[in-house]
Amino acid sequence: MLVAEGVSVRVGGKALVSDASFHLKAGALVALVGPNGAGKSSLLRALAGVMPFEGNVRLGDTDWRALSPRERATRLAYLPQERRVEWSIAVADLVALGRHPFRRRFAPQTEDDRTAVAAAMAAMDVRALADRRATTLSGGELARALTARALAVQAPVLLADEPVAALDPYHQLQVMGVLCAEAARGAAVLVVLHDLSLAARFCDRVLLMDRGRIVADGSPREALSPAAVAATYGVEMLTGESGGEHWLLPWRALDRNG
Amino acid sequence: MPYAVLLALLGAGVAGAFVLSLMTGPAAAGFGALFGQGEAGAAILIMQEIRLPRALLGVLIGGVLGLSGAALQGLLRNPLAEPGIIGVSGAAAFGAVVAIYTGLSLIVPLALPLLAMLGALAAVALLYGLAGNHSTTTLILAGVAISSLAGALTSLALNLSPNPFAALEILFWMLGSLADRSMDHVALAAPFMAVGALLLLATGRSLEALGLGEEAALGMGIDLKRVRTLAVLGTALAVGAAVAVSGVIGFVGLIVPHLLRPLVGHNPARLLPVSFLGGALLLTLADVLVRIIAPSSDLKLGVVTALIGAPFFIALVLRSRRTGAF
Repeated sequence: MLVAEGVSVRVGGKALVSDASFHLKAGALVALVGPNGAGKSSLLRALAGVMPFEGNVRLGDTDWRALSPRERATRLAYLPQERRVEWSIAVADLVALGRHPFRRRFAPQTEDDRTAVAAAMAAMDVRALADRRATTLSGGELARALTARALAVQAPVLLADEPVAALDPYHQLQVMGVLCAEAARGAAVLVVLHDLSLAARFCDRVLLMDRGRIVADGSPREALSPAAVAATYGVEMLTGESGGEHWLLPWRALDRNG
Repeated sequence: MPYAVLLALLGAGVAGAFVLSLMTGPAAAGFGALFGQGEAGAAILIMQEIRLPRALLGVLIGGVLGLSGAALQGLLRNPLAEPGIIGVSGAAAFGAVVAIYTGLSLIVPLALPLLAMLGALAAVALLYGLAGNHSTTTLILAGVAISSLAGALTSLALNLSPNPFAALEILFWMLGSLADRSMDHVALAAPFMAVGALLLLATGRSLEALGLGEEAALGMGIDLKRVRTLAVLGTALAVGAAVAVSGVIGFVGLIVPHLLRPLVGHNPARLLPVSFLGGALLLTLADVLVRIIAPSSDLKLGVVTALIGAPFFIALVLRSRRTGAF
């Protein structure tokens, strides 16, 4: 669904992402992990059209650069890490902004818009908040409302930057479940995660970034092997099997000088 | 309240205030005189040459002040933004001051509004030279710098003015007024205000998306450079023309969007048309008030809008402190 070849992002002469190549298949949930400053957010920003980049990206069978920003926004939904809402709009109106790229000026919501918004609000458990002012929500509630906004696009590609940060365990698992469901519906989902346990538990594939480069791309077991995690994060891991599933747990910071 | 009802109510209010403005003044002149019917020649003249341009300018200037305030607050996502913040009002005022200071406005009456509009356009050119396509913060900083420069130059003109009468004229002009404007002023300013208003209205959709921050808006396919250009150029044309014929009228652009925002569910796109109508209503009523409370002394409109505006604004501050919502 999305193929990136040699994507590089530079800001003021500094390379934030260097020569990243990967693909996202329809129906796959892929985690993008790596230490702070590895370039994960920059890569997502570039793909979303927020930052300029070098290299080639294809969306489906279309060249990324051949699409107008608005067409691109209908095919690729982007959930930024920054959770910002400037005006006291109702949560239902916030989620409805997901349909923004589809709507013509002054045109009312179509039936498709309403269905997509209702489904996204149900999936993210924010229906009870529909009439609340977005500026009065707690951090976790706002995060869920903004995630619902991105889901309402119903785009073939979803890029989510740390959607579970600041959520309680219940809602972390719930959001991961929703992302799985998005993939099951046929979307290609790329999600930035800091929680390696969640990445290993829910994702089909893991991209591991370090210092601007993709250093591993494979199943959670391969990409997040104890050796790879020790080399990139400087962290020792515990791993195991439970009910036939592989799990891992970051356990101890390694002495980086040693 | 449904949006269509709000628009209809405000529209009816503007129409009523417009008629009220036509009917207000020291001389007796019936409404029919507007169409040259059933009145003495003097009444027809007063109606068509004095009151009609005043009422038209009240609606147009109030409208573009409210509209540009709403657009700039949406663009900058700053509830304190108003047309003056990008330096256009100050620069237009300085252009007018030059016309008065040099005595040019005595020789060619239209030199004053023309120089004022030149000032507004110079401010935009300078703004783009300074801020270009950089961040919104740079835009605000550049606007404040231009405002300060224009204010300093205006003070310099006052300081060096050749005689007290020139200084007083400059000072009075800057207070803002719609008195004694002619249809020439309307013809000069209206086209710029119309084009400016259209540019500002075109920002609506993008302002909605910007409500989630610039990064989210870019991800939603919004062209930020285009929105900034529309809002800045639209304000320069509309408010530059407004200041050119009326002087500086404060608080309308700041307060009208604030008053109306809760009535449109805080939606920055829907706020634009209602802010035009709200600004038109507020300024026309204030201009009627000016003539009713002090028919003989020349009370300035800009003084009255500030006097009405400040307490209103304090009430808004108290409300937002209580509800936490702008």
